[in-house]
Amino acid sequence: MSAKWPLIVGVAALLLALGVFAWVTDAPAYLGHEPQTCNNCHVMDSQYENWYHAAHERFTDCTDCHLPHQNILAYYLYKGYSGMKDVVSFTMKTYPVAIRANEQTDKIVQANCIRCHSDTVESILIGAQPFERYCWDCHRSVAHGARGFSLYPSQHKENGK
Amino acid sequence: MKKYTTFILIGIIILLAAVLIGVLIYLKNQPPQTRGFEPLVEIAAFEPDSSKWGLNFPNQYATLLKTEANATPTTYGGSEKFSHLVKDPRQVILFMGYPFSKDYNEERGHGNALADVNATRRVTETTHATCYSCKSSNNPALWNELGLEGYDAMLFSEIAPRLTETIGCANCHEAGTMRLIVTNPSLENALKAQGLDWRTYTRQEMRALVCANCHVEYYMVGDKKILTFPWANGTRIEQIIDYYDEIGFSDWKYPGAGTPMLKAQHPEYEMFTAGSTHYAAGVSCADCHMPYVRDGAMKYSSHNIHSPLLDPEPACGQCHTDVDYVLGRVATIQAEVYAAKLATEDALVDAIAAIQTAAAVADVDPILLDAALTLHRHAQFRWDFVSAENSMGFHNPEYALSILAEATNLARQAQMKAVQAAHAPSLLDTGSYYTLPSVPTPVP
Repeated sequence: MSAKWPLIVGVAALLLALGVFAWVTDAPAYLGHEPQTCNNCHVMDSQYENWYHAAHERFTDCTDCHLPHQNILAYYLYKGYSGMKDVVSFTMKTYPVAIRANEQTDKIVQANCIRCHSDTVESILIGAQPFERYCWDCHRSVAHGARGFSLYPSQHKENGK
Repeated sequence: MKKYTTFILIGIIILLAAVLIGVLIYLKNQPPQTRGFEPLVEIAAFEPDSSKWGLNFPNQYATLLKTEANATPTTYGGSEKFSHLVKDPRQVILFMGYPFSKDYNEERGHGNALADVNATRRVTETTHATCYSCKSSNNPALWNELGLEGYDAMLFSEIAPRLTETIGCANCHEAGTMRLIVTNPSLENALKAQGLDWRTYTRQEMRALVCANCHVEYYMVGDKKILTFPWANGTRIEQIIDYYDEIGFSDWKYPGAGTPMLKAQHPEYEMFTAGSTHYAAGVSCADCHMPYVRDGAMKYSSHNIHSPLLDPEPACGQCHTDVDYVLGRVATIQAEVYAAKLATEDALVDAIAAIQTAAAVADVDPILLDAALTLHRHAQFRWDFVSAENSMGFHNPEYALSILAEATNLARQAQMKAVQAAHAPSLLDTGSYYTLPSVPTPVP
């Protein structure tokens, strides 16, 4: 028996363990864009419910607004960074009671508002007035509805998901 | 020695991997954590008493209670108990020989369902328990205990003492998980007949499907009066008519000619899901009839289910920015459907007058007369599919108008067939409704 065998068995065991880890944690889902995946974490219940019942639900997923879309690299880099940040803050219980968007998120969301609504806001963007507000400074309720806390109504997830 | 080291190393690796995988699988099999809220009280399965559910969901329960007092009319419907027969006496003629010609009131809110079914004059000593199927939150427990057949085989008066609650939480929700479920076994059967299973429906689809527990076309099968939805061929109007023709079903025989008539119930679900623009856009019944509202800091789906026209801001305004424009469109659509519906009724009354006269002619051609009766049956069911549906066409305007157009066409054909059958061109007269001596006005 050669000394290669521990290495081969080790790599095989590692791959197997990783596979089981991916299956147990439903890791592949996090590469996608299903809003139910973001809502795997119950701290997102209220955000999810508010979005579900507001008008943007028909047209957008969480990732459409909350991740950068200028290119696929930026998209996945930020997705990874943002996801790991959430894992750490959830595991260490360091997330705030009232979760608010930080400045970085604000910029990403703003760019995404413009990405879809560029025709509508073109005249503002090229206008003489300085453009230094966020869309939602005025359009408060478009994405997550009017402010308020939403109870997740039940203890089930999407049927078939 | 080296040989042993290799074996030991491999053993350790396998052991570590096995332990790690074991731990992961153990974690996978942990019960899912409680989501959303901690219930104050445990709700038993099929709990009929909505006030108990209300301890956990005070906002939803408080708004549900409003369905009892909310009696606001809209232009064509709403929740006020007015008589359709007084408002439109043509319907006394159209339903001649059937209890609907005696008592046909606009339905009120869910909170009055049980009281109103107990009060209707359409119920007699021979009426079956089936007529309670959509009137009480006691039903899911009773269906579970008696089965659909056992429930429907009982008499209305027999089961009455067991029905203490009006429509409530248990009619749509599963205790414990609170998820939306199909509770009416007839809906379960009707879906199965089409190869469908509600358990595969998404949450948004369920927010419309639970309404189909009741807001559908149905009939009763056999002596046991088993509640059945005529959906085996599909839920479109032609498919439902084909279904009834195939089994030779009729609700009543029209007096005089003995036409085998069909009565449409309240096919809201069939109308809305037949490719309406809102349905195609992914809108559910609950989006408009149970809008997401805010009370203080809390947001929840209003359970004060009523016409969105009574509170259009949260109902329509969630998607449509110009609510006044939307209300104007609704008014236009409904006025057009109403006008088309009255035109169909006039055609039906003319057809009925011609058929009645033709049937009394001694040498009437029986084959042509029979064709006229079939045309009348099909025309009137189409008309009723729109008339009995609670939205004056708004749930699916194009579909409603196309059904009425075909109903008018068939009604005029029925009249012409009657003329041919009786060899009497004078029966081609139109506007017979307006020349009737007087239509008996029923007591409201």
